[in-house]
Amino acid sequence: MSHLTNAASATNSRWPCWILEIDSFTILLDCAISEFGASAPVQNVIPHLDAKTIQRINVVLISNHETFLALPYISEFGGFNGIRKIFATDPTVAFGKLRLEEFIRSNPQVLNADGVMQPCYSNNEAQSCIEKINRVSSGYCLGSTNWMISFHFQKILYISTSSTTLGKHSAPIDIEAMKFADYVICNNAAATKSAQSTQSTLQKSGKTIFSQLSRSIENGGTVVFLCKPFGCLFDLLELIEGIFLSMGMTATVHVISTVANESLKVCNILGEWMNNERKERVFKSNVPLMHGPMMDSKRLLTHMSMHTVFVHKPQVLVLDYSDIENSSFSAFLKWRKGGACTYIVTESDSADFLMTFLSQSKINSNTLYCPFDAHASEQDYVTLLQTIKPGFGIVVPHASSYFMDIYGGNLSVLPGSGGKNSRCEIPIDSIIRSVLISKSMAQNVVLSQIAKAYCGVVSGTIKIGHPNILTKRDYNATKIILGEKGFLNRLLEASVSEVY
Amino acid sequence: MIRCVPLGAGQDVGRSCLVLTIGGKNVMLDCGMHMGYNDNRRFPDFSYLSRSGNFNAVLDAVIISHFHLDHCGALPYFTEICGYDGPIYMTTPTRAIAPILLEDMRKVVTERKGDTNFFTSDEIRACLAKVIPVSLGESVWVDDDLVIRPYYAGHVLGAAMFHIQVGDASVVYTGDYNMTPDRHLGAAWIDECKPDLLITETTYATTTRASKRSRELDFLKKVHECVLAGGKVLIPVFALGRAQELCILIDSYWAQTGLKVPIYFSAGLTERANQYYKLFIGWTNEKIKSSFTGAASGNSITNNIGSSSSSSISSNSNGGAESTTSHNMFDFKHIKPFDRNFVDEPTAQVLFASPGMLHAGLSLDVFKKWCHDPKNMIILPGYCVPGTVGAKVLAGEKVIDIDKLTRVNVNMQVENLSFSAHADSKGIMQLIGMCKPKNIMLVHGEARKMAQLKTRILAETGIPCYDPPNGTTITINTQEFVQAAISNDAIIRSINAATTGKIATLQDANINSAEKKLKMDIVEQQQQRTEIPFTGAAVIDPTLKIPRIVDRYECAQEFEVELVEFKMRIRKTFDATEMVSRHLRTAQQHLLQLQQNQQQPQQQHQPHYQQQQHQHQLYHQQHLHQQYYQKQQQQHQQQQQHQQVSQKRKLEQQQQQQPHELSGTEVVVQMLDVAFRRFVVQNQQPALTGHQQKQGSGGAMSAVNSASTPNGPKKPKRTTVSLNGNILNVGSVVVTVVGGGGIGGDCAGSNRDDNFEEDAIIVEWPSGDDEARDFATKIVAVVK
Repeated sequence: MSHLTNAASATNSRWPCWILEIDSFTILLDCAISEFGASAPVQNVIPHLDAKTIQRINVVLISNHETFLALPYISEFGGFNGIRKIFATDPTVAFGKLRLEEFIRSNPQVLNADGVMQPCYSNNEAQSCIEKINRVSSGYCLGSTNWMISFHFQKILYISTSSTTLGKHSAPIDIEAMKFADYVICNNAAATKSAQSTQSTLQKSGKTIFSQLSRSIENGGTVVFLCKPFGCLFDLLELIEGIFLSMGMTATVHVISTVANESLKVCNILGEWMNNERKERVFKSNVPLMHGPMMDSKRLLTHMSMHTVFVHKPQVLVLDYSDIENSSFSAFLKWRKGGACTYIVTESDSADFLMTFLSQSKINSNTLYCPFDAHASEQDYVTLLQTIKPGFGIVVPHASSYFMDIYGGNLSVLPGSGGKNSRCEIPIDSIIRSVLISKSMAQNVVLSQIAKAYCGVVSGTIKIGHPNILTKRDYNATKIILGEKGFLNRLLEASVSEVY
Repeated sequence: MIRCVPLGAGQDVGRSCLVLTIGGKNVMLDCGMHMGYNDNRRFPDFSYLSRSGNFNAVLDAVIISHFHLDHCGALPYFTEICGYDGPIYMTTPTRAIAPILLEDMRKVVTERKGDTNFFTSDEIRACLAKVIPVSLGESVWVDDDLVIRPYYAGHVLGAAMFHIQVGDASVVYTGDYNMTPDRHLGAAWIDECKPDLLITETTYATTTRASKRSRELDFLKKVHECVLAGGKVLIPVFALGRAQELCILIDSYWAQTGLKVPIYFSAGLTERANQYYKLFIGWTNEKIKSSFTGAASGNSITNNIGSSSSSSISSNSNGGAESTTSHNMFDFKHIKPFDRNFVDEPTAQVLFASPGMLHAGLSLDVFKKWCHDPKNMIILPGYCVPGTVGAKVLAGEKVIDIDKLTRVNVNMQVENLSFSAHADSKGIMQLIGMCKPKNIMLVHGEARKMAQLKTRILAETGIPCYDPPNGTTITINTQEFVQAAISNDAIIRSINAATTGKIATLQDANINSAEKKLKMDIVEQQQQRTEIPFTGAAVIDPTLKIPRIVDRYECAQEFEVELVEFKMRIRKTFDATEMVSRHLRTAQQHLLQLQQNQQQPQQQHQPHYQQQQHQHQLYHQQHLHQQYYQKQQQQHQQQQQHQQVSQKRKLEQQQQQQPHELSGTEVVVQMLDVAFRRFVVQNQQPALTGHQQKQGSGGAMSAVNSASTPNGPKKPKRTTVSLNGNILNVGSVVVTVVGGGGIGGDCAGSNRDDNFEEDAIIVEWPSGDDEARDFATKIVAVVK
């Protein structure tokens, strides 16, 4: 029997960390740091991973740049060696690196799962961790992945934060490929109901932003978007530029984040990972995203910190809220007091936190919540799972009644937070193994008909090895080898002659 | 088995096109065109693939390694005119840049040369729309079996080597590659994937180049001296690839030295090319990548928090906004677009102009104006096709006829600078060392140099090496595998049997799961034993997709068939050569006899059949295999109707008279008719010479081939349902166990493929084996 452990410290599925043990294999699925606290300072708690578990890990799979932060604790400490492999896509690595930088800069409070204060890793450790990642290929953000793990004849699908919304810059979710899954581990990252956004809410958000932006600019007001410098920022900038074009306006957009410059630039060389429309732009030697030309024509400026913004009397700002507690931010709040400033929160993840913060900071400003990050909603996940119809079951970290109604017996809930309930047995096993028989032996088997099947005698050696899950190339799988040279052909003929 | 045939790059440069057959899949590697021809010889000979032109039926995929026209030039022709519309794979940059080059070439061919028999712009577009872009490191499953994976090749932007795998068989195709990093690209890299075949380019098969750095310095020194003396430097370049490298080189040199002499770049294609380089910075080398992402500057992860504040201070001075700490190497600071008026300016300048071989266009126009002045200089960075002005200049000709009306005196300084991004002989050896192939095939090079390299590879590595000319197929035998399912319990039982040293009994199946787990753990811990013997049955159930392997226990449970086990050892080895010559002698005698009496074999056949019918009645009573029996009968009738029995066949039947006379074989036949038998062949395989082995495998292949021929669905039935004439593998010798008496003759005739040629050896049952002794003392084994 195989086991699945939810090692995340929080029950909130936004920060996943799963340990999948199949046979003698241990796979770590994502490695996020959980954030606690509705108000600052946020407590960052690393997942429940003891040294013994870490040493057993064979493979680490990272889905997107948000589920990256605890990785240096695995790779740099705890006896992680070169044999173990970390897999992530190119964009995940590129943005993950920026996310790590940002995290380290924010001088975070890191706690281990038992609540003991931990030192944050250093820049060098983060760098070394990044260098250990094997880059591989794979809709929530650019380069985000869902992983399919093949084990003999079973396929386990790991669905991390996904988006079923079309029309974003990133390549759309590949649902066809998911249909082969027998068992699904689903992060169900649609955290709260208020955070759900569907195609229609996206359009609604777009409209709200449109009207707010045009009105503010005409009235000489300021619009501040509170947004992380990755992910939905790129879609947001597209929207803003689109609004400018349709209104015939020109305003400079200021993006304030320590990593904004790099993030925006890196994004535009990742055209390979985007949807077909963007790819076509690249093929025609155009920059895939609109913010490229905006930066070239200085209509988009990036700032390392708030200090340099005021000179420009900005009208449109995108503000990374990772240093919202910073004193410069409160200076900013004072600068645009009164109704002249509209704050728009675009990310569902931190919506509650930010809305609370803004209401507490006693600014007499408009605050709007316009979700623009297109997380799949619970309903989306349920629809997705219904399409996949995994035969062996589904596991989620928490579930609403939506799930319960549809998958009663087939669904298990595995909450995080490290209790007894966070580990379960899953119906993935090696009762039937995949082996390879040498073609020559196969062809030489003389078949006779027994009932409806054809049988023939085989004899040879079985090579026992660990089934190598990820690197198909080094088939370390079980083999039966005998002799040198004609079964497949015969097998086919036998079955063909039976059918016709 | 892997087969590969070059259609275009065999012992030749240009028109790269190979067809690879691996595990039953056909893959075309590159689809290039030859620039030296104006007729259909410029395209690879696709008729080799399919005479009917139905390429979709024969090809599973097309892979393009990079955007150079000698690797992708024939693609629109192949897809739009020849009608291939299966999958085409190439990297994203190749997908982006290839259409530009194709369009450029199309213009040259159709507009300048007036060739009408060529693909159109629309066809180029339609062709490229069929392309599936792939990313480095991504494993792409073309279908359930065929997997391709690109690796970085460093030759040009987006160039990739491809790892192609079907089951356990794999091939690496390098395309063009470069093992030394240059100014803008990294070095080719591949992991130790141990492919069965490495197909490598050999443009520089025998050359070893001096260090790149010294060549670069040399180049810069020459340019510097020339412009200091007030001369003009003309650098004819091909718009993509080398041009960007030289631009980076000169641009950074100008920045270092503070030179103010203008550098121009002829606009058009190149500007767009630079744009692509900017968009695909991820495909360039680490230095360019890091200077772009800013990892080497202020906001690096390696810097501490303090530095971020300092960089924000510095950005204050820059009008408030953050200064661009990252820099795109392809935003050249000193290189400006060229205007035709600049040609006549008296002052020094450096000009990059296409095309690279001075055969037309701006570079030739400028050359005509500048070549008279000894102060000026021309630097030819690559190879020039014989006959072009570039080649004449390189050859040192001082008076050159450019066309019928124009003759120029070349007084300017001429320099050749080989910056070519191909691996040299050292690089090729390095790649071989990296991926450790089992076989090597050389393509994309000159025949003479290839032969030299082949000798070198053989001498230094001992790896078999091939350099086939166009249209010649090489064949590499690999061990191939078929996926099957087996139960874990069966494996555990086998492990137990192997570790305890006794053969698994039915009782072994009853051990409980806890014990099983324990025993499995022990085995895993030991790890010394990585192979275990296994005997059982292969089952194909038409309802399942793949065959199952069952052990003795499962066979008994599920099919109610007992697997009987025999131990057999070879008592007498044989000399196949001697046997063949002996049989040839008897064959000649028989032939004489046969010519005297042609009707005799047919008369002999009748009693055979009756005897076998008797056998089968016995069998039928025992096992109730009605269906089988009927089939046999039908086959025999067909056999009789088959009037044109070849001379060879008659001979064979004559030969089978010999085993016919052996005693005690009839019992063996009965025994063999038990549906399942199991032979654990002990002792060693007979020593064989290479010649004999070849004979053996040849025989097996012919059996397979004939079994898979499409004509007549009855034929396979005959082979698959044969119960006597059981084929065993004894090491690499294929042994067929036959009964004596009538069956002996029958075996060679009715139940087997017609062209199944056999020879006989005698194998004895060991006297110690009870089961065997009960049945027979001798069996006759026939060796192909």
